[in-house]
Amino acid sequence: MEQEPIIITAGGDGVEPIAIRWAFSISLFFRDRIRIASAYGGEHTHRSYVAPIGGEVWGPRLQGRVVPCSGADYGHSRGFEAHYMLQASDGALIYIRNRGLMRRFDPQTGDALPPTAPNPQTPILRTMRLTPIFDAPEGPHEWMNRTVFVGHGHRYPDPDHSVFTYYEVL
Amino acid sequence: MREFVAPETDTRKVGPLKLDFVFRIDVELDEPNRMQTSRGVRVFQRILGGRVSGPRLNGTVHPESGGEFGLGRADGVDELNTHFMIRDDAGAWLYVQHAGLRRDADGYYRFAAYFDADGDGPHAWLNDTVVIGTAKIVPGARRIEFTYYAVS
Repeated sequence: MEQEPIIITAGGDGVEPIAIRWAFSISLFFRDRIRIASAYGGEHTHRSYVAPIGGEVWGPRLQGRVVPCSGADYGHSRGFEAHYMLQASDGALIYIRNRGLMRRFDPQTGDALPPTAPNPQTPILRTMRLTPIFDAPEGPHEWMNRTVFVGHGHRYPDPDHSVFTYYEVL
Repeated sequence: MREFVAPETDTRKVGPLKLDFVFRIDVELDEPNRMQTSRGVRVFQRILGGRVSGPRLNGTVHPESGGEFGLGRADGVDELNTHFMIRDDAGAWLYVQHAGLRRDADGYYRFAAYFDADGDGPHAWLNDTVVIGTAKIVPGARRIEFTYYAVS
C-alpha cells in the first residue's frame, strides 16, 4: 500500500523542534463493556473492561490485524490502560500497551468537550490521545521497541469501535 | 487464532492531531549511580534542580525532588522514567512523570509526559493533556534540556 508520508512538525524559532510521522492506524471492534464503580477516588472514579473482538492494522510501517480477544482496555476514570496483541502480515506477534487520556468530542468540529458521566450501555463519541509502548520480536518490526509513539483515537458507536492513528516521534 | 471480519464501516476516518510548544525544563543532575541487575543496568540520577519556562508554565524544579531512573537494555536502548516536582512562580505544585527512550546509536531521546496539577488551579489543563517531548543532553555537563509539546 503506497502512502504519502504524513509528517507534523512543531517548534523552531529558538525552541527545540519536534517531528512526528504517521506510522500506522488500527481499528478495534468491541463487544462487551463492563464497569466497576470503584470508591477509592470518590463517586466519579471507575474501572472498566472492554475487549477487542478484532480489527485491522494499516499504514506505511505496519500492516496486519488485531488478534481477537487477546487482551482489553482496563480503563479508568482518567483514561486508558490497554493491553492486547497485534499480528503483522508476516505473522509476527506484537504486544501493545496503551496509555492515554480520553474525552468526549464534538463530531462536527473535532473539539474536546467537558467530561460527563459515561454510560457503559451506550458508547458515546470519545476522543483519545495516547502514548503506546510496543514489544516486537527481533526482525523487521524491532524498530518499534526503540521508538516513542504518540497517537490519537476516536470511539464510535453502532457498531462499537475505535480508530487509532499512531505517529512515530522522529 | 480466532477469525474476525470487520463489519462494513468507514474505519479510515481520522481526526486532527496538533503539537504546541508549552514550556521547557532545564534540569541539573547529580552523579549517576549504577547497578547491574538481571534486566539491565539500572541508573539513578538525582535531579538537583532546574528552571521551567515557556508560554504555558513558569517556575522552578523543586530541588532534589526526584530523578531519572534509567534501565539500559541489551539492545542499546535506555528506558528512562523521570519523576520530579515543579513549583510554579505563584507557588503551585505539579508532579511530572516521563516515560522515555534513549538510543545509544544516534542519541535519540524522546518521551511522553504526564502531569498531576491541582484540579481547581490554573494548571488543571495538564491533568487532561497528553504531552510529548524531546530531550537534549548538554555535552560536558550533567544537564538535560527537556522541551514539551501538548498533543491536541
